[in-house]
Amino acid sequence: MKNRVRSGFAYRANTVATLISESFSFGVLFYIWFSVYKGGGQIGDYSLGFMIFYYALGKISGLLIEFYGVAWNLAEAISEGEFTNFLLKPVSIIKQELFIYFGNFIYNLAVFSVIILVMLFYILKQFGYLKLLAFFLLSINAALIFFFIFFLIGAMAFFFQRIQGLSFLMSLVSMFLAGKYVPLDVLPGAFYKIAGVLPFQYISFIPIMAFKGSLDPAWVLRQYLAGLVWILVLYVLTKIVLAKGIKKYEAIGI
Amino acid sequence: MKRSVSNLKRAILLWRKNAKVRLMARMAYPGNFFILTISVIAHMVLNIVFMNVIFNFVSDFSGWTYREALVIIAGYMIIDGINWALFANLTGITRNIVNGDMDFVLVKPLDTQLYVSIYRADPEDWSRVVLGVAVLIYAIAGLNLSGWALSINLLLYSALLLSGIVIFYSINLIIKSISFWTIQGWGLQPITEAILYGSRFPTGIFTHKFVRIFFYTALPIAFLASVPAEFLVKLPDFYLLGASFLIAIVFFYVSRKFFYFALSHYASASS
Repeated sequence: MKNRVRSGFAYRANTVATLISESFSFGVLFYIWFSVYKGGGQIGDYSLGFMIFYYALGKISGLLIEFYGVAWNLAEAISEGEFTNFLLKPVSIIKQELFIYFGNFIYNLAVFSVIILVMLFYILKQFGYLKLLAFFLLSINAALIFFFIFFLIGAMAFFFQRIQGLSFLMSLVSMFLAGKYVPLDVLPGAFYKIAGVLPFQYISFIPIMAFKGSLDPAWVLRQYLAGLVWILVLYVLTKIVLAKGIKKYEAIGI
Repeated sequence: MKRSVSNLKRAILLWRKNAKVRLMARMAYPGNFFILTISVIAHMVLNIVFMNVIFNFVSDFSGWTYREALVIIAGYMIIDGINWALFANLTGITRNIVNGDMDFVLVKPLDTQLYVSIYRADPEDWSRVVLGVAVLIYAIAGLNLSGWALSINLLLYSALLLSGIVIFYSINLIIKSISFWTIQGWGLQPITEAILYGSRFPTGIFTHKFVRIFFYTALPIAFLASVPAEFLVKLPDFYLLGASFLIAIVFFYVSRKFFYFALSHYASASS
């Protein structure tokens, strides 16, 4: 975890670049929705203010929890034969990768702290601490679900050797079905139904929905438990895939 | 002149060889290549889905109808496709710096900028171009354009799209050249992607005058897909035609100068 934080600070230019690109794409999104609402449009039951908030919070939480390196690092270690090092260590591979993931989280938390604090201040003023608490609770699930999904994709390198295609496809699917493109409830019915039975919605859409309308503790509890079930399912799946993958692993590199 | 033609011929030959090697490398893992192609298509389709969502709730998006807006999306897809399929989004710069291979590039008997530009070509990204052309045909079919008007507009559209490709290439080159200072320049990739992402929408959405001027001059994303689309489906200001070519020439010149300036700061060491 410490190493991941240090490595982040060593290449801090990349963080600045991330900030620029995310701000730019957020700016474009702002103008898109501003233009739609200014022209008399109304997207579902979303006000312009909430729509902008939806994307801003989605971007910030994305900076903290969406670390696609989870899949890349694992896949590279498998295909290059470096996975053997993980096997020799007296800590499980899942734990090792989880700590790297949290290292990334802490690094981004530190470097984007000013933006995060501004957002927290805004949320407390606009929505109150109870909704913020519900958001935090659902976001813990979001981070774990994201981690296990992309860990599983990385682990596919045991079976397919090269997973760039799969990783790219899954990051697109995950962004779309997590509601990063548009809120899921404004998508055509079929897409919304599909998103509703998959775990991706818990990565972004569900946590942000804690702020929409009045707070319903039963809804929060239901979503939290559903998220936990998904974490359990993904964890078991990860264990199975790892066990099968390690049996297949030849440690020669390709 | 003769030398330039000879250099160009050599560059095309080299690009073809690089593209062939890249295709062979991709085909070594056919499953991965197939999924990559599907992913690229899915990426492009999501742009259309996003536009569909907007038009599910409005019939006019900043003065553009659905089919007209699709012309912009098609232009974006074609530029994105060409950028990846011909230049692999200029990843040759970052890759050679990080791996410490830039030294080998410098000793090659070819213009360095040209070499790093055609260093890699991603065959799966031709699908972006094909899909872009398909979307363009679909969009045009729903517009009241035919005969000479359509032919002339298409000619102008193609010329302006070419200009857009040069402008984006130049912006991309300037940004990727920053890698000579930052060394580990993978973080620069999302910046160029975000810039191109911004070109998928009508420039009219940028309602603030300052922002609009910025996107016509300092960061001319208006000339990537929006202005070409205007020439195909609307009656635009004709000065934009000259402006597009002028900006393409200026940006290409500036980016080339900047690339060599950045190259002069290359420390010649692997990270």
